[in-house]
Amino acid sequence: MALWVDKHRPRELSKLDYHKVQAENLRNLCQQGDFPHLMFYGPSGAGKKTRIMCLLRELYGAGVERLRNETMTFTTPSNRKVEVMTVGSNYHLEVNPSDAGIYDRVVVIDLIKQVAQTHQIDASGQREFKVIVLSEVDELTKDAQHALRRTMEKYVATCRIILSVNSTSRVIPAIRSRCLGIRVAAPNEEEITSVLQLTCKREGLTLPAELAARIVDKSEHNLRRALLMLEACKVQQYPFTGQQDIVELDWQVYLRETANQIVTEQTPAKLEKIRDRLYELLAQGVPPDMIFRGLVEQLVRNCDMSIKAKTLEYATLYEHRMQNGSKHIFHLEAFVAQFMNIYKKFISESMMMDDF
Amino acid sequence: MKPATRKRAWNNSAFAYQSKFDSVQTENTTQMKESNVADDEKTIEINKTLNESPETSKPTPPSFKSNSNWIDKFEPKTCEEVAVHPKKLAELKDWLLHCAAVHKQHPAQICLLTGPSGSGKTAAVRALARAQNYELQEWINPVDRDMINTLGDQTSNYTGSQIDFFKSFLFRSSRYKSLLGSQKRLVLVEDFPNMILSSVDIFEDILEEFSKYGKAPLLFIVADSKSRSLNISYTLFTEELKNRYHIHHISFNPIAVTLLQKAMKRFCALMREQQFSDTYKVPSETIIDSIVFAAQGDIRNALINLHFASLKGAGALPTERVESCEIKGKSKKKLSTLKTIRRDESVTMLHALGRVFNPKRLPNGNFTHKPEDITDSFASEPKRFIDLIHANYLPHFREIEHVVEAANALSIADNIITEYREEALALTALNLAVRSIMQTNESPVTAWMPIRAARHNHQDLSKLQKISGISNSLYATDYGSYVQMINACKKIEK
Amino acid sequence: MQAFLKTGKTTVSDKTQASTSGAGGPSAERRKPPAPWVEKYRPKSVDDVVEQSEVVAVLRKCVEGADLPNMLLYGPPGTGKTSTILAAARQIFGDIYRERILELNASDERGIAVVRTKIKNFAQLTASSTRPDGRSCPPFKIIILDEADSMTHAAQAALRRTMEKESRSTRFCLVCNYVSRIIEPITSRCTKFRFKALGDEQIIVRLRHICEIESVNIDENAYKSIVEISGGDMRRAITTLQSCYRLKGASNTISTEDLLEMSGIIPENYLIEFLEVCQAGNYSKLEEFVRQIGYEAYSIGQMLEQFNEHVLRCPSLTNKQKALICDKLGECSFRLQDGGSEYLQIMDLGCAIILALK
Repeated sequence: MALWVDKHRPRELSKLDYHKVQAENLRNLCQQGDFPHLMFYGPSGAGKKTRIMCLLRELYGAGVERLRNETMTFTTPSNRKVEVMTVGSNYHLEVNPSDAGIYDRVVVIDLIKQVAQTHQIDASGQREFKVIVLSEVDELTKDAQHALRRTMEKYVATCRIILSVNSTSRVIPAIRSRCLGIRVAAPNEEEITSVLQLTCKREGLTLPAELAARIVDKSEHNLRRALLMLEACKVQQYPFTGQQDIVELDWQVYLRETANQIVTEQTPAKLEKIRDRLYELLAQGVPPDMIFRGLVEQLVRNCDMSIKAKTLEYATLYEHRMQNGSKHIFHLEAFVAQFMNIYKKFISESMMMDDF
Repeated sequence: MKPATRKRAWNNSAFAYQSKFDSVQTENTTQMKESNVADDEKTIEINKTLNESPETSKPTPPSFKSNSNWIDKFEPKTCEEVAVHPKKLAELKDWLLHCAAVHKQHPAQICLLTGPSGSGKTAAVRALARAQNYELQEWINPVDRDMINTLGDQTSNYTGSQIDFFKSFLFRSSRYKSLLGSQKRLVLVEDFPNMILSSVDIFEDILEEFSKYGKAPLLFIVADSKSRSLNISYTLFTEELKNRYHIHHISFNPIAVTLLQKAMKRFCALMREQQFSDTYKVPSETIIDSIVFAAQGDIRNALINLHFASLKGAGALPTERVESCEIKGKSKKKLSTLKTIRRDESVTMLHALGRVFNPKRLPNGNFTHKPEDITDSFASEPKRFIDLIHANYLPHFREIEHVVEAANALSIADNIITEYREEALALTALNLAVRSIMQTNESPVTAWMPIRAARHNHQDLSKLQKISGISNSLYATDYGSYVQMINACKKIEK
Repeated sequence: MQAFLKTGKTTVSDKTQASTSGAGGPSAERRKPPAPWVEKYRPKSVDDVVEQSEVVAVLRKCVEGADLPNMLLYGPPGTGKTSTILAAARQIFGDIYRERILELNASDERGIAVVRTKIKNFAQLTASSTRPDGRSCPPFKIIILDEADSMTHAAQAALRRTMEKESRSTRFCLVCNYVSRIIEPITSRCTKFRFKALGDEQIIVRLRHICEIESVNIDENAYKSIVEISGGDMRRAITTLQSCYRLKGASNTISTEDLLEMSGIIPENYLIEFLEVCQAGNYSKLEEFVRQIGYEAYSIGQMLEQFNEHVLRCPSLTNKQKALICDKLGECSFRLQDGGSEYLQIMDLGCAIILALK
């Protein structure tokens, strides 16, 4: 019951739908004897993972597609067991170390050690190194990133590391400079449209141009989201109509409602209700920085420039604190309180103006 | 030995000793004067040597009897004196009667007695046992001599021996009557062997054996503990275990204020008696009231405080300082008295929170309770206190303008406290949080509000349907809602 | 060439990795991957060292006299510090230089324990004044401590006694970027050499030389952009060239666009547009623009860095406006480096600029 996103994912560099020149470059890279550490960067849903898998296939052949899931267990210095899901083949291993939370450092070190200390078994393989794919490296703690940097150097003889990050700003320079950066820009609207049409063709469906355009519009240039939306539309209603509802992500809807509530009432009691909603979002696993961004985007809608600027000023202040703190809710709440305060003043001032 | 365990061993041993030698009552009053803390230390030492041989306990020199602590002296002798709710007492009594009734067929009855510390569990058992003519056989963890002898290879040999020791105690004490008395027997286990605590399996085996071969009722006493991992009644006595061995569970509550007051009256009456009057002077009514209040249903605590409050002479000076603060009013007991009694912290946390949220001010504008004092009281767990403040501060604010500052301060406090490398910063953070809440809230809402526990933001990952190779956050942001929907529809199709 | 690699310092691969975007020739022992160009084109003698004329003049004297003082080489990255000392060592010791050198860099364990054991042990070895083949050779060894500014002060302090005690048979050469991070007792025991950033011309000449030998197809204008990207860092320039060559393959011509793409530099027009959008004072346009940058996957950190330059050079802004913008820019950059969200930081900056330009 594979999702379309996985089912129609291109498997070879030559079959990629966009960024063709880059694909050609990656092929060139594989043809050379040595292979650097790589860092793929680009927004979510731009196709980083797809490109990494294609690259691995180019390196090792079809063997990399025989995937198996494994749960690796790591022991922290405080003797706590951390379990991390991994996906891998004979040639590579894919991990998301940020899933280990604050124990990411242990995972990074132990994992690379374990993999790097065993040489490539398959002697016939043309590569003498294994590849470790680490995703969301920008979410790693600084500690873990420094550990990663050292292990990268230490085990460079037996393994290469491919990093996948959303933004390079959060990756420490030492890692950035050790990797060859591959920029994966989000597909533009035409590219997404063509991929959607292609997918529908493969599934034997017809997609009205209007619906396609609306999905593209809602997808925020995120191809994965666009495909998931398309599939959700399909199970909801087929044949497609141009006007049919597009299912939105429930957390985005929820966040928008939250923002609307903030704008309607600015009291401590309301703030408390907002807190519960924020807790709910956090409990669902929505990253707090995305909550921040979503709130800001919604909140600044109805105010004038000076309020906008102030809102952003507070948002950056508290978001930054949040990154350095441990309780996300404290900072989210402080931001909402600040916004309520300035917005309340803004409203009462504009009311006074109206009175005159 | 850690203080907590020491206290425990000391109390247990004191009781254990008393059950065998009732002569403790005859006190040498002149020596009582010196019965301050230092002397109690001595008692501990002596009692420890006694512990080493619980089975071969022979009468030890009488010199130390006089030093036995005041808790023993004021121990209730009859059921009427026990400050436990009559219903609970009746429950326990019923169980004992039941044991006697079915003694022929099923002698090995098991009962579990739980309740907060100082709720009179042991005292109730003792008094009832005396009334019902049961002889108490209590297990005391031996201080292990083998371990010292064979320090080189202490490992397996030692663990086995303590469990064996425990087993043999259970069966011997329940099966073979003592040559002297012909009383019925009641086996009491309050002090659990360490090995049992770490392994439920061993405990199960022992219970299994006991239920087959035991000849006397077995009573476990377990004090409630705040944290679950330490709570024996949770870890050891699982529901399943209780059902299988028909373990009767009696749970005591903290002692009610009225009962506590009654007990205090009894203590005071005792103090006025001839033998004690040299040592004690009965403290004033208000002090007794505040002691009762501070004890929060812990009779042992109340008794200790009473003892300090009523001592004459040299020991009185420091106590007076503490008590003088208590006199201020019923509800305003000084925190420093409570600091010595750890178990009360969570209770007083509520009071401290009240002080933070609804600060009282002196006429000169200063706070009645200084933020520093509140901070100091919770220096041991600043994170928890800040979390509690955060969870509860909002309803106490009227205006969003005031909330802004408070929320801002909490946000900074969180940042400061996250810096784990500098321990002193945690206090700074706590102080900041406390102070800012007190200071910024210019017009607190004074209505009564229940205190809520801080929420822990644990993601419920089990709820997420994990797709391999996709991180949790990505699933939450991109996949979640669609995948659920697609799967739901596909199921319907099927 | 292979021989060079083999005789090279044991930390060759680490070294290259440390400074380049993955020159990755670590499996050299097993196969024959092409050597990273940075290693391949290291200067072979002191005279080959580009630019640093004063340093070279002193060193040449030393080499002629077959002796070296304790040295502290400092200066910006990629200016030839390590290359210089290695070249000098080669000239002094000839083909046995591998045995006479101990090189440790930041990626090696270099705590106080290492200073006490490894460095001391090596320092205490005696060096004979003749080579195995009978020719004479200076009777000392060189310990090169690369990236010495990252050593702890305790380790540095432990070093100073060793430096003095073993001065008869051992020369120390510390290489670092910031001389201020080396403790005073050490600097006073060393001859200090300051390395200047390389001039554009020098780098281009070198790059051209490499391109000829490796037969790289490269656009004439591309040289200039390499120099711009590298900012006077020879190592970065060469690695950039090599990475680009790898990506494009031998048959394609390397153009300026390829280089910019590879290095993650943001095209100038984005900076101009950002300022224009802010000048228009329209929030939703700003939002749209920031989104677009996000889609293009450009790093906001890089953007802020370049924007700083851009603002400073921008003729249409008044000094006060520049001050206001740069103030905010600094704050945003700091938060970004410290883990803040890209979107919020640049939006905050944008709003501040809008207000500043009003």
